[in-house]
Amino acid sequence: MAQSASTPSSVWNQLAESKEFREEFSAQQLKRGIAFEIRALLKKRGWKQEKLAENAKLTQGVVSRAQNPDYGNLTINTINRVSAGFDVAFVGTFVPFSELVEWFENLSEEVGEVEPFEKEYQQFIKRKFMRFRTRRRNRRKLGTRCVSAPPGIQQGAISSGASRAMQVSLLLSDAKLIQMPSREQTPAGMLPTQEVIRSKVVVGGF
Amino acid sequence: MTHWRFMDYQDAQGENLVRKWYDAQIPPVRVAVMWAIKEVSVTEELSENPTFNPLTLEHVGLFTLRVSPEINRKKRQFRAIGFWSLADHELILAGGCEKSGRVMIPPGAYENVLDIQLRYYRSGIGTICQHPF
Repeated sequence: MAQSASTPSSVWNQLAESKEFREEFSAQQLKRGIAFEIRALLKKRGWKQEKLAENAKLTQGVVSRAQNPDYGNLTINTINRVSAGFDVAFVGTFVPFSELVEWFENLSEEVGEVEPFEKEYQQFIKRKFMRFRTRRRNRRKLGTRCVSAPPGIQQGAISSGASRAMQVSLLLSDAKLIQMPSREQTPAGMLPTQEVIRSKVVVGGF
Repeated sequence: MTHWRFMDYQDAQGENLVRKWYDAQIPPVRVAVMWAIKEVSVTEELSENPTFNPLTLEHVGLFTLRVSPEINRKKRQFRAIGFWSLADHELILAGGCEKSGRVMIPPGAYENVLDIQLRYYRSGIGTICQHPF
């Protein structure tokens, strides 16, 4: 079958046509968009309507209607129950039409890829732990370098340019946790020694 | 991600039949059809989308997109009608109608689209173009 060039009439052109069109476009996002998201979330999690109904403390009939744009109107309360059932947040917010058009144009089943709180929290804890471990490792590395300095020789004097740069960057990254020694404690231009750093570490904050 | 490409059928005179029907509708119907097309196009498994309805019996080979916009506080049923080309993952729209019980407005809308598919589309008469949104 031959294909001819189309004359695209963009969403924008249609929105510009009338206020009524814009009103309807926005209303359909609530009606169709949310139903679509519920279906995408169910699919992504491999849940049946019953499972969501149980989690959301709704009847299966309500869930069935919520995911079908042709039935009834969704109430805020139902949306709230559904989001609780999925253990995710629902954000209803006023936006300019440009955002709605962008949402419409980028619509895909990937909208169902919303992690439940528990999973998100586990990732949050894991990230925190990794950051803590990296910091601790870096601090140890920094300490080892300082300790390895022969007695009687200033730390700055034995550090190569690269390792000094690393020490400085580590110190800067930990700026919130380590109080830099004052000028009196450290000779001008020298990096703080391990002892100074240890004594100045503020415990907590992870 | 788009799974299904929506196309419009244009007859031998170059008239876009679904566009003609679409343009004659009031905004609530047009918006509902527009959202339905978008939604179905990004649905991988069509049977999971309640908007998409493959027809059976005498209309087998056709599909409709079911929309029921609220007009003056009353729900009315509208259908965008088309047929599919599974090999190309294309859904070709060729008409539309309002469904009031068993009555179609315009009458014989399903038969017209079936006719287009069997007599014209399959014989290579007319063209198809990408649906504009």
